[in-house]
Amino acid sequence: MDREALAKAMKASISEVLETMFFMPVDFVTTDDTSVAWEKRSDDIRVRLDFGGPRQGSFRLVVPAGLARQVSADFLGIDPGQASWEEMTGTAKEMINMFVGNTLSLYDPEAVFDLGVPEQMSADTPDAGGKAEPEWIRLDVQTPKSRMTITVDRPMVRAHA
Amino acid sequence: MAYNILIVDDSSPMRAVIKKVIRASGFDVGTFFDAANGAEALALLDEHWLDLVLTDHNMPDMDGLTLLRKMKADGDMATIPVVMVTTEGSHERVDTFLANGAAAYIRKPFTPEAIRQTLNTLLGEPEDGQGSTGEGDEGLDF
Repeated sequence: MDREALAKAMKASISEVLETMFFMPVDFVTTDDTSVAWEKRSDDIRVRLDFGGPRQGSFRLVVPAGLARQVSADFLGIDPGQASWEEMTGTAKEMINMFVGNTLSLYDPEAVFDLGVPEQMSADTPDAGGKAEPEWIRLDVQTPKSRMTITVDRPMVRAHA
Repeated sequence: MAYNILIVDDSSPMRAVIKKVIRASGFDVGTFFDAANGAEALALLDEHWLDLVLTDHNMPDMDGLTLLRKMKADGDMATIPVVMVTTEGSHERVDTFLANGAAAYIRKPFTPEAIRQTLNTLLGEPEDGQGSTGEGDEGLDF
């Protein structure tokens, strides 16, 4: 996969999802330093989505609890104080589902990628699926009041049996 | 006429949002049914009269395309319109949905207008006129 083209597709996808369904203007904090570890907070919501097809890999999203509460409330049309933890994690999972599906469609509309089911990760899950290798792409998404992070492991060519 | 509508998505928040958009569009809904995957949807379809199904594709246990194929192969369910609402946007995948009998395809993220216009086409406009696509109705919100 072309790293630059994938990052461009990610930015377009994230902007469209957040602006269309969450009414949230976004900006991207540019950093090429993928060795920067996530600042782990116990109440961050961390979800991942694996994909297969011509390439296979994994996207991960970290959303601070306060931001997750706000986007969940905006999404569901409820007061932020009413958003349950289940609704917050469910909204984060749906966000990564839309981010990834759109990213891959924008990256190569002719390819058929198989998306997995979004999974919640615990705070002590190793960052790169247990690998020491840093993320291949990391985007910090600046929202009006907070910041979320989406990363991609280096995609691998599908192994043939 | 009140319509019974089945929303199939493994995301509970997404099911809630779709319901909210349909209600806000003014469609006369008798009952909303929820399913988290294709297998749950088939069980509901066996037990209830339904007028429309909106389904995601990527779900555990049974995906949306399998649900669509099973419905179209079933004498009682084959005529129920199925709308695919999914992030799956590859040309080949969308062609596959339509070739297997999907009545429409809505890509996530969607605008409320996309849902409304699709339902207008499949069910007809709501009697109160909220489903029209004319001037002055662009304010529909999630």
